[in-house]
Amino acid sequence: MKKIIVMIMSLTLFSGVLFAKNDQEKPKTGNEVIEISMMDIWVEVEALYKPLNDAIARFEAANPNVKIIRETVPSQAYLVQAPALGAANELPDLVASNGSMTRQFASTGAILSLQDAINKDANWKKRVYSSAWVEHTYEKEAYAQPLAEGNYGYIVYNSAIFEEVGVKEFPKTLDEFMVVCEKIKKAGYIPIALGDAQLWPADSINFSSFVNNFVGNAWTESILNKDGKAKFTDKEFVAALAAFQELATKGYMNENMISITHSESLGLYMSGKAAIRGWGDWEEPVLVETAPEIAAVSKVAAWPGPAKNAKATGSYEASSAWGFSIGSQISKEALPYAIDFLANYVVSDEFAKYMIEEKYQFVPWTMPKFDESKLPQITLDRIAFKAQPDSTACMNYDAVLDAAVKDVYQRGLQSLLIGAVTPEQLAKDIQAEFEMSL
Amino acid sequence: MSKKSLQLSTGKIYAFVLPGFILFIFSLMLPLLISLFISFTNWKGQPNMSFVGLKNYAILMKDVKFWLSFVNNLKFMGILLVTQIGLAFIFAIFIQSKSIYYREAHRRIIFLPAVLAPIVVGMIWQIVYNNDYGMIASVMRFIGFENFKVLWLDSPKMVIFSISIALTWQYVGQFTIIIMAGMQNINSSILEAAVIDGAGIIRRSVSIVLPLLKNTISVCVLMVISGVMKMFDLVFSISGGGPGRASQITALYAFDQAFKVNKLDYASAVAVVMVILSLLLIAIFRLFMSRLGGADE
Amino acid sequence: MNNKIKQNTPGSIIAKIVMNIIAISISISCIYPIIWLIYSSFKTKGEFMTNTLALPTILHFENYARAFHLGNLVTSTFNSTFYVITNVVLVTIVATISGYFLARYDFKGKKFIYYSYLIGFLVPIYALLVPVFLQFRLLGLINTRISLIFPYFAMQVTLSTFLVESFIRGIPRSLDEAAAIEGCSVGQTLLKIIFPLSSPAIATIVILISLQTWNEFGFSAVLIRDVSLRTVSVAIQSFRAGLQLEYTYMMAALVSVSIPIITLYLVFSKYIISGITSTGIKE
Repeated sequence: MKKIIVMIMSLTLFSGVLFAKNDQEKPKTGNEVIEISMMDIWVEVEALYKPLNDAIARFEAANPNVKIIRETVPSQAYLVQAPALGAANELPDLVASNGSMTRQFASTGAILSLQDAINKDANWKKRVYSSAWVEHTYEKEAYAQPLAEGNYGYIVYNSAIFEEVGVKEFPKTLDEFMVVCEKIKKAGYIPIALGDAQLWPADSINFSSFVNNFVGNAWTESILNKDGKAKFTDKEFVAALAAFQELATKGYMNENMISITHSESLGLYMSGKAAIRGWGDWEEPVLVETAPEIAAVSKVAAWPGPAKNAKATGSYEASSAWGFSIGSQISKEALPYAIDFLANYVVSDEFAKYMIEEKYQFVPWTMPKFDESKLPQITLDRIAFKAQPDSTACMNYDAVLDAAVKDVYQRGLQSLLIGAVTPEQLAKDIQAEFEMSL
Repeated sequence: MSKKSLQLSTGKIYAFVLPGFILFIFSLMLPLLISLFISFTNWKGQPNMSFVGLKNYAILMKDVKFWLSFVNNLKFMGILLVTQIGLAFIFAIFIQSKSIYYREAHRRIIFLPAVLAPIVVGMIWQIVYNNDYGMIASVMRFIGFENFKVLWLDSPKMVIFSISIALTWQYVGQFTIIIMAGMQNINSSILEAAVIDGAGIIRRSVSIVLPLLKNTISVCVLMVISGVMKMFDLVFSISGGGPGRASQITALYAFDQAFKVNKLDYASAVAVVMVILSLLLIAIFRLFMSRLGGADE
Repeated sequence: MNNKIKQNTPGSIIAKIVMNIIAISISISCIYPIIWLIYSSFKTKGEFMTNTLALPTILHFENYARAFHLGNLVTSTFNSTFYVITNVVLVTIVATISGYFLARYDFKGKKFIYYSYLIGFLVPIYALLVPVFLQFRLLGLINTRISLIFPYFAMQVTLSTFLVESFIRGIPRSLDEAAAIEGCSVGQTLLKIIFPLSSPAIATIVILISLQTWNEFGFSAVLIRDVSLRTVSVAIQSFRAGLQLEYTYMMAALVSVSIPIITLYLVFSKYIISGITSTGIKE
């Protein structure tokens, strides 16, 4: 009996010691060094990995009493983990969040509003493009500092394959586009490469801009504002779903589009097996470095729209989908430092210069002068494409829809592509979930 | 019972039994009660919550997505009942047979996958099924079927079946051994005769052996039912419930509702209904078996 | 009946050969994916992509070094080991004690305890993901060293208790009666008589608990944030993401986290097989 009690006691003690140890680690930071925890998705191979580390280094050099402890989690795991932590109100001090997450966290008070700090800091407010805050705004207050002015949802295509099948120019309407796809398919190539295992690529990189040619920007704005004017069951939206589905059911996309990841579909394009791929600007350095011979024949275009009643042309997404927000568990001492880090070390010329010169991406704040000769042809093509008068910047649904609507919409897109749901039914499902969120 | 020498005051017994039991209540029962409570509120993590009565359950009753995932659970059950128990029965007859050499080695090999982590098994099979450099595609190419192509995880019609293959691979050894244990109670000459003398007799002896194995088989059926209801990691890692929702199961749906969509209140209701449904399934099967047993005796 | 087999008629020999061939192919199809995984994990990415089935020309151990680095596998192996040990100790003590009292004594509330354990055994464990998360959130227990101890305990304690209980029922009652007559207290009886006598059952539950705790994924994914607290099953998840998917590193990681349990299995397969089998028998 006694021995058992001793055993149980020592066990309790054992776990007690561990628990206590865990608790002690935190308050220790109170007096000497202030620790700021930071969590994001930009692992070693990602473009934002290094500029963030550089920003931390500059910040720590200027503030020797503060330490930023950064942890990177690969995106697929992060998309599960971050919302779970948000639900637990256990977010780290600095946390990467996309538009949907930002609003979700803001609605439950898991992150702090940045609006007061922005209003007080004239320089910060002036420097960042006001449009960049939109995706990270909840009830008229900004909750995250966006990091990149991303361009995606445009098309990169292999002009060598196009020439091989006798097509000189990228088709402007969907009907012409289908004809071209048929030719490419007959020549033994995959017309369009897609990898939707993570659920967002079909939406973010493809459909968000594809649908904008049908519905136009005003429609999306109405959805975002929840003013009830735009409905997912509107005929333009349904027509876009139907056209998107047709691309898959006619065999113009790789058959294993659901089970492979976005990076595997990049592999299909870079190996020359696929002719067309929905694209994101962060993939340009990968293409140029890994497959220079394919990069040399790659050109930029936009998804073609319907021949009649197009509400926009040449849609591509301009989105600051990801940003950094501040978790509400942050300590009082750490908060001003975290804000300072965002306002002056992330939003900085050094950060911007690195992003454009090394990674060919723009940031959502005023750019310093940079060396244009460092940019590869594909990036220059993209910049030229954006400047065309008939190109339209649009939003990324992945970043603007509520999480619940997004879940129905993104899983629905998969079902649509494999022909398991009709466009009309999917439109109804999305609308039903959307109305619940009103 | 002769308890004269084994008498203890209730208090003393409690001193031994209760610490563990309280820990159990805290770890398993209390969360269920909390969930039950939350499922009657609108709490999604915000500072204040209010009671909404049965609203979440009313939504759940009409939620096609939830019932679709429950139907997927049932589909898995249907397939696995046939594949796991059926194959295990055949394997057991083989391995039991005295004509097989190294029976112990076979037993251990077939059982091995059962100890692997389901998450690992899911990831292994994801590579096995890959259309470009997966194991199956490569084996088919190797033996000359260049054009053999099955969209294992991309086709909504295939995906549950494909995942069932992975599950069968992992657990068939476990069922084989259970059935073998059951067979040991049967006069082995029946089995031997069945195996040695060819197919006609195999079939005939199956009809003799199967009834004798009734209890063992019913244990296996229960294991499949409860196994499918608690399935989570393998599906999570192999398909994530996709394509679309084609392989989504209730545990994944609850997970998504809580952690992806952040409806903690609704996810609680889903969890509560999941528990009720699986207890109900087990109860129905028990009832069915006792009816059957009653008729026998 | 033995005579019948030993008759070496041509028919029975052929039948024997055919049956052995079938048995061997069954075993091979069970083990081949694992063997394939192991040897593929030593290839370069290029080798793997171009010839998926071939053996590696050189063993690239650096895949393992890379996998350990990328997946933070040293830390997570330590963490998983920690949970295995605490869970084994905790569950074994509780299961043996309650198994003993449930088997030997009648007391008020016994039925209540018994049926609570039974319900706990029947509840699908992953229905508890959200509930446990909510409870821990309310208690502020998320993301600590002890967070996982509770759900892991809950996962294992019911079956272990039942296994020990049914084993103890098989031990003659006269043994502990004799001990009691000689003046042993209950605690002493438990330690000196019951523990040693039920060692086969205890060995079985110890190994089962180890395996299943090591393999657990769901709770670990939901309750833990810090890299420093992460378990192996969550750590390997991080390989199927990122900009470029490196299959060979992923396979090296899968092998690394499976080696301990495969080893455990090869050494203790007798206990494991009897244990997992009795999972079913117990129903």
